[in-house]
Amino acid sequence: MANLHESAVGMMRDILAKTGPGKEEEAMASALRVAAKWRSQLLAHTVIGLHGTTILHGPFAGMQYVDRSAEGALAARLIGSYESELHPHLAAFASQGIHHVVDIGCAEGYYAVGLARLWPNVNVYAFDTDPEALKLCAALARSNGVAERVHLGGEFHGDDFEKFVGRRTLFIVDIEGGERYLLDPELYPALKELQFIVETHPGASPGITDTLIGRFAPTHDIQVVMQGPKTTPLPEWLHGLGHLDSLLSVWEWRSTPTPWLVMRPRAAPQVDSTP
Amino acid sequence: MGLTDGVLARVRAYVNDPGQADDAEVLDTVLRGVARWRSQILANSLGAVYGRKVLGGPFAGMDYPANASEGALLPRLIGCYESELHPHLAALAQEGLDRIVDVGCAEGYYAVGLARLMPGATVHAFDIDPVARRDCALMAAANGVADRVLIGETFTGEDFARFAGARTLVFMDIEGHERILLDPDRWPALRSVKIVVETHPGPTFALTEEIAARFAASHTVIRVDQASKAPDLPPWMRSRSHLDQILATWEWRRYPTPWLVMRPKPAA
Repeated sequence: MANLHESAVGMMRDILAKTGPGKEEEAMASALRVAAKWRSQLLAHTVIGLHGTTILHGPFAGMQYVDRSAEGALAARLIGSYESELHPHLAAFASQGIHHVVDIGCAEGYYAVGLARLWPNVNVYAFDTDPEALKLCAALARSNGVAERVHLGGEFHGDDFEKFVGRRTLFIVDIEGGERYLLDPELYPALKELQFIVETHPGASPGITDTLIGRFAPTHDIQVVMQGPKTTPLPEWLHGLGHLDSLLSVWEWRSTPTPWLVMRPRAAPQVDSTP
Repeated sequence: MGLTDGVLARVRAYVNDPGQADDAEVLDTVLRGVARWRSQILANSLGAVYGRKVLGGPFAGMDYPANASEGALLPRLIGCYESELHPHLAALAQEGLDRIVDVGCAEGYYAVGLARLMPGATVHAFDIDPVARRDCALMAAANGVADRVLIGETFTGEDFARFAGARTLVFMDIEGHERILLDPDRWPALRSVKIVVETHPGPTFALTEEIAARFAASHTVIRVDQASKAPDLPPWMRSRSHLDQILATWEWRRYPTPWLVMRPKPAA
């Protein structure tokens, strides 16, 4: 705790020391982010102290999670509100029948393992270019008893898309702007027949959301899903804290919006009957 | 840029001399100060984009020339402020009211908002703060309801008798003094009026329960707790960071202040 506190104050000091005239507002916004992260981490510690690392709500409720998250927003993940905007879409895909999930950019496996648990007949192929992420994902799959259905790989190559055509596969893509290069139906025509949830990163790759909509509009029905405030039920003790704490407990740390695209091919022959 | 300079100076003073390491209370206070600054910056920007008016909720369209004298302006402009009360306000409006007694009216969010919402009702608004009274008058005039928003200074328990009857709503937010004022044994007229009160329990006293108990015999009592909310954000807010969006709904409350919605029981 002392370390968290000290490092937050140190970062705020550095930000303000470097602030030149006319940049005060920007610096204050950065300092706010640092202080809010400190509070969010403190809240995550409290969640773990009271509830352990089992996810509390949402489709991944009951999943054994971890006590740190490389990408932050641990409290939101443990509470189960994390990216709750996608929950109804995951349920809709499930009701259509999914046999395979390909998670490109799986990180520590929140979706790869979460979906393997949620959908017991589904095989998950999880890819990440970061070897550390793959280690964490393997450990998470083991601790949730789904290691035999979570298959790990390093880099996903666009040529592999065609292997999943017609096989009731859901692609989950979160690759920090790399979607510009990977999700190109001119390069990889199999994409025209596949279904996706893509997190787009216009901050890293300006205009990418509209670019992808343009590329897939001829072949896919596309829903744009924007982040928003949360209504996930909070643990009772959080209601007893200040309003800011209950809000920060579900804060997702994103500095710019990353709209999701939920894309389904219009005429999709999904014929695979063997999971 | 006065708004930024003041907060910046305080944060600078803190980070350069943070005192005892690991004092979460102090850093939390700094965080809240900076978050309030951000909330104000966003409120000003929102006002510049859409005009200074309430954008959603039951008071949508209300012009808002005043600053929030108590709490956050941003959720007031968005229209999600204390949205837990919205269904109750709608029901009370539906039931029909002749007068609203707003005790602790601040700049008039409710006094003027309820006057707009209930064109047949007169609002008697009270605040001991002269700035609040001035702002409330400004708001009433800007919204064309000055003739139905009558502004007074101090409200005392003796005043309840003037407003007795079930077509009166007493709307009260007085930072803990409800403990003294909402006493039906001293002021029996309270047994005949409808009441919405924001309660301010302290660490050692359960004021919400205490007041609910005082009215249990004469009123049906509904307790309303703060809830998570996901309002439709104005398009300008949708492209902001998630932290800004979260701050859009932040009501600056440090501790929960549950409301009680109380209606006199029909005579047996």
